[in-house]
Amino acid sequence: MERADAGAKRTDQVVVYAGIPARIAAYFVDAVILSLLFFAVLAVLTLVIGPTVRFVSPLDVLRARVVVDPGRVVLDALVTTALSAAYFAFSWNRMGASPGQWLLGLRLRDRRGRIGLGVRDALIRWALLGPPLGLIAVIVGTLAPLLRPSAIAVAAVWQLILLVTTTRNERKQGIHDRAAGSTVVTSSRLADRVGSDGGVAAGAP
Amino acid sequence: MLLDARTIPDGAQLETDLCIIGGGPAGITVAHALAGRSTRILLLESGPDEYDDPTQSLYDGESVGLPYYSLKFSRLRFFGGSANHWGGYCMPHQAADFEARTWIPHSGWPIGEMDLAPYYPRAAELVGIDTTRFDLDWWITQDQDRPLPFDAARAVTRVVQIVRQNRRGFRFRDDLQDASNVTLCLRANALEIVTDDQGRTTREVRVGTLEGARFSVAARAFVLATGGIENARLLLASNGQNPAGVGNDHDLVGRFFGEHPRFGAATFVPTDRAIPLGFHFPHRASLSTIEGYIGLPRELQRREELVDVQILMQRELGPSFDDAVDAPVVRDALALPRNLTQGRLDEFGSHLANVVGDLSTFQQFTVPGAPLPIPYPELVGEVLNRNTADRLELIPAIFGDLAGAAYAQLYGAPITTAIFRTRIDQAPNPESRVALGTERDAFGMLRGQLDWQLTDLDRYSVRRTLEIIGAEIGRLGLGRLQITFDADGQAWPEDMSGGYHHAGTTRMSADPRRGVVDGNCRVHGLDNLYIAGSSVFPTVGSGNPTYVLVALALRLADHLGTVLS
Repeated sequence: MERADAGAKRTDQVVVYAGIPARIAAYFVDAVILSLLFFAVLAVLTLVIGPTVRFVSPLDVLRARVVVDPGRVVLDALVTTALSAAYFAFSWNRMGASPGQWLLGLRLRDRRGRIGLGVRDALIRWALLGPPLGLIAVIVGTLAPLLRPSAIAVAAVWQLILLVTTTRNERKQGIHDRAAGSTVVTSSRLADRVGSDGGVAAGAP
Repeated sequence: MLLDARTIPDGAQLETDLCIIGGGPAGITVAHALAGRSTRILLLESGPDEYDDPTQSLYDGESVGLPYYSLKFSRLRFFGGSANHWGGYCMPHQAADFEARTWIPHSGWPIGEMDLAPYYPRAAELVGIDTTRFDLDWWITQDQDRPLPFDAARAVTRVVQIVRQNRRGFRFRDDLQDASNVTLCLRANALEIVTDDQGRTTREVRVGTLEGARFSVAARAFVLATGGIENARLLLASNGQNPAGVGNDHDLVGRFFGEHPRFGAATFVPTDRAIPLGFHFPHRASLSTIEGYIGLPRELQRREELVDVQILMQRELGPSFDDAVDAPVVRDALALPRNLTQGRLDEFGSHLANVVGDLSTFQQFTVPGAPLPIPYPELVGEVLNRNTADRLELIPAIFGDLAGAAYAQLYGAPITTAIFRTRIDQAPNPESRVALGTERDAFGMLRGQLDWQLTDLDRYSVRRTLEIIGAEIGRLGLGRLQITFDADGQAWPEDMSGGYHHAGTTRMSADPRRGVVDGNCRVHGLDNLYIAGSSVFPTVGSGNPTYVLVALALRLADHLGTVLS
């Protein structure tokens, strides 16, 4: 997949690294969009191949009326994880920002300072952002329910690690950014209004 | 002053102005009302400060009539008396309770509602309720819940207030101990009331301790306040001068034992499980806890010639909530603070794991991988398609047992059915009685024997009351009332019990041939023996005995204050 020319412009001017509040806000917008997308896709899936959650009978007054199909849960998790990967990889590659980042005026730059990431780097960045850990938590939780809290805890700790490494880095690069060679920069004043505390560097790549 | 009867020398003769026998709500109220005055008061309490089994065993006796609680435990025999296990329900008698009703033999009090009215404010303070208001219209302004919308000519809701748990002790021990004119004597068991030879004046009461000491107390006046069974037993057992006992010239002592019989008599099946019934269960209103009883208007009772039958609802929650409320994880959650304070970290850990697991129940119904915890589409559809009550039923299944239990506690839960339990103001019945048995207690006193009996009027009244209320429920379209009580059979329901409301055994009447005490609670024929407590109630009444007997004891204290000064 080729990057868009518009996103390949070299920016030798002053670069403002996006601050944490703006990046979290962008992530929240993406979370809302993705959640709605998943809901719609799973609704279609339910119509096509049947429900994941079943009710023994609407009139049944006994307990345990809500039954979850564990196999379907894993399938659903695979579908949503794949959708998540496609959502981010496509938008970072083709638009230089996820929809949430775009709305908040943030852009991703690659190692060379160009707007947008290659597919490989985009997938690396996405993977290290944590969604695969969510998939693992679902699988572990389905196979061994007692381990589910531990798997969820690992995923939560990973998010914390990303937050800390991003905050402490001069160029606001968390582990995921460093692995993918990406930096998140601002492209408009909107991010400032949301609350940028990013760093400033002259001619940074 | 506090005195332990075990320190009183054997054979001692004490002397005081007023001797009160019994440290329960009635006796304590009289002493408390007269504390600080010049009248010297000696309050004799059989028990110590806490439960003591040898003392409690003195209550043991035989029940030969309708099934009844163990007599040993139907009252508590230590300071505070039965207030130590009191349910805290308070409601005054209504005006009609005091009236002689032609269709109810032996009904009617020699005093009326207005005779007690001045004493209710003070009684409210003593029992621990915040207001003397019991009128439904006023409570509706204080309450978010609403009673069932009965036509007032067909059925009514009556308000009962419930004292908070931490205010039900009724001990006032410090007040009594600090009063210069009151001596509280614990572990002092009244064994016999001794009158003069003519049986006109009470001379002394003989007292014993379980350790074997005996002493006597002489006083200008005596108040017997040991409960509906023990009052009669002590009078009957005090037969040194008169074989029939004290105050028993007309064979009335012990007769007319009354209760508030209660049993499940009908099942209410609401048309809509979301019909708000909260007013009819214990709930908070303003700063108080109240409950709405259902009954018939007095005029209708008069026309139908019925005794008063009040209905208490016992809800049966939807099964999911029922299970949630009783779920082990709820006990685990409640045990957490205790585990922590007792340093039992292993149990704390396992209980906490269970709680966390239950709290994460919702997670299994959320779309995996979604950054936000959105529910599965089919779950949303199911919830939207259900009616209110069925939707609520899903709370424990979706959010876990703790959430279900918390919801049921805070807001009530969908009710599948409600059992209508009776609370009958049973018709006075001379054959329902307390007598002396054949066995003896540790002091050699004959134990009490209870022969509790009901009448056909009670039976008919239950059936007819339910029919009328059922018809009103049907007319309003609220649901159906399935009457399970067999009014034609001879047996009473197996689940029938009383409310621990012992009344009538030393009933009040202006006529010595019809009652043991007069309108001032003085035993007919004796000039200085008084009785306090619900044993003087000629009819059990619609109200709750404790609140009424405290008001009546205050009135007695007023009278004694005048007499003894």
